[in-house]
Amino acid sequence: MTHYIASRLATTIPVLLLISLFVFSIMHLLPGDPAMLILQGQAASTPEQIAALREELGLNKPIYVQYGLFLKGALQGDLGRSVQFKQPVMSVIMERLPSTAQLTAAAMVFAIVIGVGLGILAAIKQNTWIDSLSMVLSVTGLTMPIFYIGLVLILFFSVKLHWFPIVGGSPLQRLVLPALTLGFVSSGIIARLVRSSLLEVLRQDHIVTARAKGLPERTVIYRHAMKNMMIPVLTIIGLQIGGMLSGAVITETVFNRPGLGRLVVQAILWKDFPLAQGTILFTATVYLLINLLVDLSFVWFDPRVRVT
Amino acid sequence: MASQDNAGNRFDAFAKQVARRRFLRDAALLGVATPLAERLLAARGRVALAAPRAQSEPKGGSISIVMTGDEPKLLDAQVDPFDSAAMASGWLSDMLVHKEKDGTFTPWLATSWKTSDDGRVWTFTLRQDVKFHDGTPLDAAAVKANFDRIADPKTQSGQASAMLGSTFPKSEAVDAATFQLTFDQAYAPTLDTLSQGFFPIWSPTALQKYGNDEFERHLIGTGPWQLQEYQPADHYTLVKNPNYNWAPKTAKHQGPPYLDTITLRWIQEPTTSVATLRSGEADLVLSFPAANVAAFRDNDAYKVLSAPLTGSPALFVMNTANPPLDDVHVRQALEHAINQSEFVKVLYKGEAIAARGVMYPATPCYWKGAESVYPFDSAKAKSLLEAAGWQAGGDGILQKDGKPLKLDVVNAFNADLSPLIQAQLKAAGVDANVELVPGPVQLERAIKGDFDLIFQHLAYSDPSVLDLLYNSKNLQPGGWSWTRYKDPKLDQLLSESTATIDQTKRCQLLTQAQQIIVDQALVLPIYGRNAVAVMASKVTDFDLGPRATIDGWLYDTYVQ
Repeated sequence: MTHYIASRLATTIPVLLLISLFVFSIMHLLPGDPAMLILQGQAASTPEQIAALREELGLNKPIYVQYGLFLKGALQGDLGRSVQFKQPVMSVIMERLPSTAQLTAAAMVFAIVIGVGLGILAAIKQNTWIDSLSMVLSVTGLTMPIFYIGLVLILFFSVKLHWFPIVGGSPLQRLVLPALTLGFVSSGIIARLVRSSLLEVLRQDHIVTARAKGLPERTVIYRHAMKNMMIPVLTIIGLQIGGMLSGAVITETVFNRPGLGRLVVQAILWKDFPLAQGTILFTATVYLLINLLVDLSFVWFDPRVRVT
Repeated sequence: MASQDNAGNRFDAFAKQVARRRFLRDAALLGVATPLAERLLAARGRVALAAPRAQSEPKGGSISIVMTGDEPKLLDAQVDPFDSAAMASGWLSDMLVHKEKDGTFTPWLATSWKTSDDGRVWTFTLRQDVKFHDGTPLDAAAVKANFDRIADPKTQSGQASAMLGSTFPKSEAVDAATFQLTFDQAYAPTLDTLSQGFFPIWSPTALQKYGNDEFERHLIGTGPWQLQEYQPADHYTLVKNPNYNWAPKTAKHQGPPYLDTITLRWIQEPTTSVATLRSGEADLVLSFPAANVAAFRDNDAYKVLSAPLTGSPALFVMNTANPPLDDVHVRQALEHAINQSEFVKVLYKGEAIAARGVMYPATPCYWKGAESVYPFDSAKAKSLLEAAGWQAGGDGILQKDGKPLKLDVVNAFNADLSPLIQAQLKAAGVDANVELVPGPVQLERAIKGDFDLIFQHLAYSDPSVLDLLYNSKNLQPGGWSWTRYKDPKLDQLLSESTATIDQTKRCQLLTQAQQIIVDQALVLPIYGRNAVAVMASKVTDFDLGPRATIDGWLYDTYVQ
């Protein structure tokens, strides 16, 4: 078990370093002077302004020194200053993080509840109309564009029924429709995986043994089948969270949420390099850490891991 | 198969258990959920149509305003280049002068002004009774501090610093009540520029106290409302300034504004923006997407306000530096290929207007003659091209010396334009390769010259827009002169018109300039739009000023 944990931790660190290197070089690999590109994005660029920005960003230092400073800053939580917002990048990220975190968490809850629920239902009612209906729903979630789901939910639940707000109301009220939109997509994937995973597990010998021992069906499913089923499902859930960060961009745009997804797209479009770099590095780190946690959680779910 | 049957039997028993358990659980949940749901659904509910306000009740109310489009990064239009930032800055602070819809100027923070004989020096006498929200009194030193701030490269002013001519004027506080601006060269649009929300006067005490960056979260000015709350990328809350007493005399009332609270949001996605009006979360939606207006026009629950724009309409700029557009006959031929009426029918569900001149008709000094120079005539376009040496090719595309007549067209902001422009050019024998790019990329390609035709739409308050767009000295990063056409006579006409304070003489020069621009076929005008605002019918006395994307007249507004 210690070996497993140690090896997982050990691989995370080089990946993080690689990401930081990649993110750092974005600004320098693009053709043109970074300061000029940044200011053009703000519709202002006299030579004095460009020179001032170059000094501020430290662009006149040798490149390895710049990387060193960047890394040192990042480790201390200083990701530079956003050119457009005129504030530390970390502050801007921290302002937007709660919105995205809430959205992703709520969407994940919806996704798991709906996905696992539909998947189990489909598996135990295999080949009945319930199975088909569940799979139709999951495919709908998989294939319909997120913005379309979002707009349909808005038009139906906000405009027609006035049940949930679009942009106003309390944070909880405001979270329902976007979380449902984002979660619906993931739930499709989870449902299908849960169904096939559960079906496969239920065919296995240890299940037959459990039943032969006379255990009630409920124990068979929940205690014996579920744990084994959950390993691939958990991996997918971990990956889904990463996917959600990108789906969050569209959801945040449709519902006008002040989140990280919209932030990074705008930063890139408006060439606010410090902000774009900082947000990408931050998001990548979070994603890595979540997957690390998912992997570490196998220690609990999968006893085979404990002996490695 | 056999195992499946067995599994089926087993599942049935289990399923029944699950079903019953599920039912019980659901019932229990419902018991819990119902009050929870009630709480969730209750507050943000329907639009309650309030009883009409009795005559004796004071006018007031709260309003929720939504601006459609990208949110400006800062509400401080001295720094941020967005028009919507200028509009909001105008609610938080006042400007030196106020522009009326008829083009005249009314005293505001300045009670009077005069120019020197050569037009280079402007002297403003300031009101004595104005106070900033933090109590600091307004004086010439305060005004000077603001102009210095705009001129300072450290402020990185995106728009304001470029609006007072190529060299920012020097400012001076002659005495406590007299402020002076000295230009290198007379600048005709001075009053018009100073009246825009890009020149709000902020409190120098606050600027000093907070420093440039932190000030953006405080924005202390002289205006009818003050900034109470700022939720980044979510909303701003403005509250009434009870001490406000210096509205322009043309306003419908004096003293504090009627509205108690303003909640201000930007929504990027047009459908969402419209939805908030329908759901009652927004009372007033600005920059309303034209495609959705029709549904609100006949609806008594809403009012539609449509105001003309000024400046340069939506058009395609021609890159005169590259063949084949370096040939004026080719350019003139293309003018005949454009059918503006077809665009108007398709775009914005008929809310667009055809543009046949190089400025919006409501712009001062507009030359109406431009409209009849190039009537739509596909056949004529083709014959002009043939006269310029382009022969009919096999696939309907003209060619010369074995090379087909191909153009790279860069489109932005409005995807619907692409198929139309491609088809109309094709009908004239041109193979148009149309790309749709985002705003920042459009600006890049324009400056680099990486295009044959590129979309441009610059709403602007003053006819000096022509100087911005067609004077060859303005081809530089951040500049708007993209045609690459160099004509000393045109440059001279444009520069001189910007330095001519006398309106009549100025219009004469600008008419001559427009004649050259149209004759040389430097751009393909396509369409124009109105600025549209839609509001709930309870919103009363809101208006858009002469610069409809910048002037939001909220001071006399109240909610019934």
